[in-house]
Amino acid sequence: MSDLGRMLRVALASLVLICAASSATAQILRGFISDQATGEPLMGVNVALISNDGSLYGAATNLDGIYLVPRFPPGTYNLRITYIGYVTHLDTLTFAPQQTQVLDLAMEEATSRLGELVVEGDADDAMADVIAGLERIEPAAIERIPGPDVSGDLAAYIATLPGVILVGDQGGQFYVRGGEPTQNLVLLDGMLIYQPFHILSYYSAFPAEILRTVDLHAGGFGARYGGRISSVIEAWSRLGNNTGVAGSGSVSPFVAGAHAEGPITANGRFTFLASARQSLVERLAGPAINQSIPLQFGDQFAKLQGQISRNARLSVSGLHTYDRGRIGSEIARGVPTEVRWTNDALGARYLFLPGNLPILAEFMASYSYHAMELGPSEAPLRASTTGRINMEANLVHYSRRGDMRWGMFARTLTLTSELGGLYQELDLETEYVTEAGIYVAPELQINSELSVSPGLRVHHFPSKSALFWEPRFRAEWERGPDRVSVAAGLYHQEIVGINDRRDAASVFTAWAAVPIGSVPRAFHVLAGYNRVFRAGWQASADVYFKRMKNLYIAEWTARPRLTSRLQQANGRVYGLDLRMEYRRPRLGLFANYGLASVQYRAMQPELLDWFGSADYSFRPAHDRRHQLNLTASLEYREFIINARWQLGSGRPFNQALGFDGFLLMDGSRDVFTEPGERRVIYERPFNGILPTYHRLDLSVERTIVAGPAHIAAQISVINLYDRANIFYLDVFTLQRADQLPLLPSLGIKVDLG
Amino acid sequence: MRALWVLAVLCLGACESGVVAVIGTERAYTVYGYLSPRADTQAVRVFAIDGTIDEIRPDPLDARVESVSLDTGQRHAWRDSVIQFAENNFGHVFWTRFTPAYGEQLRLSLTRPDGLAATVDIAMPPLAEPLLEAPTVSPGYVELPVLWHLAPRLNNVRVRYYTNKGRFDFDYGNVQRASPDGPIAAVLPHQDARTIFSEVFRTGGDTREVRLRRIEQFVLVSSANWAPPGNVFDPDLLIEPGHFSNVTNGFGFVGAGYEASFLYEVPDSIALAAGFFVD
Repeated sequence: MSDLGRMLRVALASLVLICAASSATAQILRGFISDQATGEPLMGVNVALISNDGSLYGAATNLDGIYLVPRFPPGTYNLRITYIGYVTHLDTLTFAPQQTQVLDLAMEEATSRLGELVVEGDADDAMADVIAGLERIEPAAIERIPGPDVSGDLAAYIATLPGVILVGDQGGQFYVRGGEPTQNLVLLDGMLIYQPFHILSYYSAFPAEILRTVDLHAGGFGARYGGRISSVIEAWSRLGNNTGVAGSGSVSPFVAGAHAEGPITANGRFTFLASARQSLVERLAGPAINQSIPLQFGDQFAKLQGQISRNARLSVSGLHTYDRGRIGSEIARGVPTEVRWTNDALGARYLFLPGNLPILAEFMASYSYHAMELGPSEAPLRASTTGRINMEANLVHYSRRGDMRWGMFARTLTLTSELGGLYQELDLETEYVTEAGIYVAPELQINSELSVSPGLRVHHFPSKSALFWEPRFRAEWERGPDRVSVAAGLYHQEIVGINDRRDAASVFTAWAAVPIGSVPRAFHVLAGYNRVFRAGWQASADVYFKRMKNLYIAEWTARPRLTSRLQQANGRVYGLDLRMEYRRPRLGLFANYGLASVQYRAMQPELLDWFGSADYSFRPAHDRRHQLNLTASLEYREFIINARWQLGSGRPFNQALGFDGFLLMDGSRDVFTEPGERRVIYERPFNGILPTYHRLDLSVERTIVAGPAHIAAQISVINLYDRANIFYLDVFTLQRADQLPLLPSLGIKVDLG
Repeated sequence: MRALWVLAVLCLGACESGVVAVIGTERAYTVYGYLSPRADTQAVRVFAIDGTIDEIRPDPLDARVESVSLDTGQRHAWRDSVIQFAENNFGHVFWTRFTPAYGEQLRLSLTRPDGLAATVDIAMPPLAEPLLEAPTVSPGYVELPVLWHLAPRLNNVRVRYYTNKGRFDFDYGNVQRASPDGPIAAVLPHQDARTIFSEVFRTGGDTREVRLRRIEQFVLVSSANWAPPGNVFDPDLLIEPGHFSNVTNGFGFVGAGYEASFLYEVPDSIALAAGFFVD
């Protein structure tokens, strides 16, 4: 407890110092900027105060639409609020000494006034706009990716990104820059979602209708985030329309969904947003192509939010998802691998701006629950549940030379597993784990071109007597059309997801607090270059390197199927992401290329005789060396045509020399009565390479207006030239499972309001 | 442009999408078992190296199995028997009738129809003679070292205590120490007495009246190579291909050995020192 006590004392001392510094602050301008039509907050709006002598004091809105201009002299200023695609707001403000003014603004979209489409220069959904591994994903970009459904989904977009590997269109397993799915931190409105992608990998738990923005930190993420060693996907839902009730409904052979939103109170201060989806793929899409697609999933989301005072906002979000399907080899003879999982999350977020202090405080409390089962539903062979209560406070202290960001958190987790002999080293039943920590991450504006953000996160596990110091660093240099960014950081993951990645189709994951050995950790370093060219061209290049230690992998064993033991391995990842896009008012062309190399190294003494060395290295199943995504979006008359072609080099898989049997000769065994067991004689791990993957998806959409309704119809074709892309190969039975074949689909979506 | 598009689609569609999961091996067979100079029938379990993990079917295994004495040149042809262990679980046991001599050198060969063969050289252990070395006796501590003279190695060491309350068996595993004359496997009666007393007490007997009469040590006198890594038969370790294998161009292990025992009439002084009751 001494470490925790010391940490709390440091946190309190920091709070006192910051508040003391803040009290010296003079004049403040702050407020909330939103879209006039929907009430949604606008992020990145420039707010500038210009004095008579030309001095400039400014700020930009954050993702909540909140801005705060601190520390400027009393006097009269010209106010200028600008945002691409919106009508500029001009005003004159006079500040008396010690005065704080609150200016909320609902900005009017320029398109509605000018009656023309404003696309050029609106870089909100730019695919190539990446800052040292951080990409901000807007719903407009998600809608651009052709999918089987007329409504877009985050999963379909993420699958197009360089550095993101999807091993198949089933299972919902995403690998980001060499990291495993369980090493990704996925948050929705601050709530942790353990399994954020549905079993049909075109779909995430987050339909585009509810999303405001998604930040994908592919590596080198800042000190605010921790507990995972690969990446962070932070999704924020919209607030809900505060001007009127709106909604939509859609149906396709894959999914039916609906969403609704609107004001709860007449003044629009309180709003709601809700959505629900239910898969139809098993009942409609499967029979349509005369193929069994035994997958079911669904999700429900609801959010209430309100401005409870001039200085405070409160939102409450809840999410439930469920998935069920048969993926992979049989667990045992005649027993299909049915896997089921649910996510439940409930969270509250309170944003508070103290009246006279240049501080934004965010308090969050959430509960996340995840359950997963493998085997027949009436008698599961394996089961795992995870519950997490999270409390955290994040504060931003604004100043002219930069912002001081810091915060603290405390969590308690309950982890339960029934593994039925799987992973023999584990004595997993029920574990209780606590975590607490603080972080500090100042964002310093060195000059007009350079900003740096050094950070430190101290993560403490009182129940494990472990304390981690994690330095982080991010910097960005921008001049004209050029931007260079770098990031680095050290990361630890004490709560790990355990699975058997010998089989690429294996989905079942048990969560546990470091069961054996040392805590997994990773060091990231990355650098990026971005350039905006004339005439709609934009390009970026990111290079990255990750060194990972103490990863959990399945021990290499000749025992077939689910009889894994764990061992620890080290790994390294390096890669290059290239993106280029060309955007005109009615045309968008996007090309992403990812080059990556992932290598694991492990030590297993029993392999000495077979492989000639106990120390062996291998490419894991998600090491796709080359990946290319070409996406095109064209508006032709009343039609929107989206196309995507994906190409991925073959992934490693396990080849076998053959199958024999094993008898334990530990004495005078009677070979007439001793049955023995079957054995697989593996070649070296992941020594084979699966065939190259490539696929073309196409969609054509047209929207017609009928009274208050916008009716969109979409015809899409997945896998247009019917490529037999392998999903996995059951090395035991030689049965091969392919990804979805040519699959035409017709979807209809009706938008109201 | 249209031609290019069609060409691209055709090229991509025709790309190789097949995959080879099992690449095969030049090793012929996997074989397990042991030969005994005290048995008139010798048998080994033979596994073909298959292309899938499907259960073994009750079809004959097309293998020619033969043993030859490297000392006398005598040959024996082995016959296949399909054994059903459980429903849909069959196995091939090759066997023949003969009794190898103590210390004899044999070669077992298993040949596929295509001529590929796996071979195992087997050294029968000599006839071993158990001798009790000088016991170590003090109150509460008794060690009875049994030297198995000329034995290359011992496996599966067990000890049986004959008392007035019945027989009690103990598994000593592979515990032994080497000596120039052969391995020594010690019996520790004082240690086993506690377990015996506990068992007697559990069944309602009077622990003060347990009289020790005889001790018998059972061993599998084994060929020298029947020694697992670390002296532990760990199935998770030994299942790895190539581990603990003496089969050339194949997998598995074929040892040689025979069961033997040593009976010891326990004097009162030793029984007393070990904690047993004496009259």
